[in-house]
Amino acid sequence: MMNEHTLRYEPSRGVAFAEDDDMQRLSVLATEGWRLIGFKGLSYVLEPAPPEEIIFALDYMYEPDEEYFALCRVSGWERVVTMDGLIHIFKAAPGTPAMFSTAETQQKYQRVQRRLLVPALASMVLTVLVWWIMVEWGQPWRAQLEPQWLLLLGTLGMFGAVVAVQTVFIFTFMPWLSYRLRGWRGPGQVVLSSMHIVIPLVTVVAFLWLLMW
Amino acid sequence: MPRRDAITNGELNDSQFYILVALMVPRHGYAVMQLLMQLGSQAVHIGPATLYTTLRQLVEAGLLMRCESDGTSKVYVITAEGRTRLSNEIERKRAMVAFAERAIEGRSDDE
Repeated sequence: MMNEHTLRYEPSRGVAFAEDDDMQRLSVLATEGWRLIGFKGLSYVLEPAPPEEIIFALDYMYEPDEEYFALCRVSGWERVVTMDGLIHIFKAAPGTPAMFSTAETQQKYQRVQRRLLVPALASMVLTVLVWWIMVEWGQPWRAQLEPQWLLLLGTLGMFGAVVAVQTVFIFTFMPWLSYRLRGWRGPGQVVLSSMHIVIPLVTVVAFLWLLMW
Repeated sequence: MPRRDAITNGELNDSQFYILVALMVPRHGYAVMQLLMQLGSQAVHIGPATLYTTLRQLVEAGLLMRCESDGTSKVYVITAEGRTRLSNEIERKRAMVAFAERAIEGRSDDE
């Protein structure tokens, strides 16, 4: 058994945004003697192991049965971890034929994109709604708060609500958009993958602007 | 159902076509994959994830059905509807090839 402190937590760049980069990173880590054993929070969990040359692939499959994993296994793809019962990471020897047919790789993105559509649109509506409430009622209400500590509390409360709704937005709408725009390589994907930094920054700036309004 | 749409109103894609042909006789998923691998580079490469998804789609669309199961690997076979769709697809492909061949022969005649 490994001690907790010998484990390594490698942050994921977000499988919705940087799947290929993440899979390559896991390959490199395997050659450096780190074996993938799980996924926790937003990080891959790895443990020390003999270095090995392996490649990784990721698939989205809802409620797969044993046949799915059996077919993968006989083709050389062994399941390593499953996240949220949906995202499955497989490993194989270099040169193993791909898990997907060349023409139909996009199918997996269509599957996950369809499932995310409703949450994505809901989070979009929620974001607009919360900001509208903040501008229309939140700010006037906050501005007349007294004494100082109550004003601070009100401000923190409003900021908390904004952060919460933006967090939901980042984890639903942005992945959906990323899957929707698959195949749209190059600058588009770079812009998308920087959104989880840009959106929090914009949120903070917008909130400061709201306070001064 | 979105998954059905692709099969019910469109033509069969390459993976669907090869899988239906392979299942003219009952086979389990792995046997389908092995058979297609033997065709070599002339056929499409059908990975396990694509095979699994396509089998599910074809069963849902009524072009394949599951027979008795041996352990974890299910046995599939083509249905009457599947045969009809396959014949239509062969006709369509034949027309495509004939058109292309006429064009190519026509051009070589000019030379």
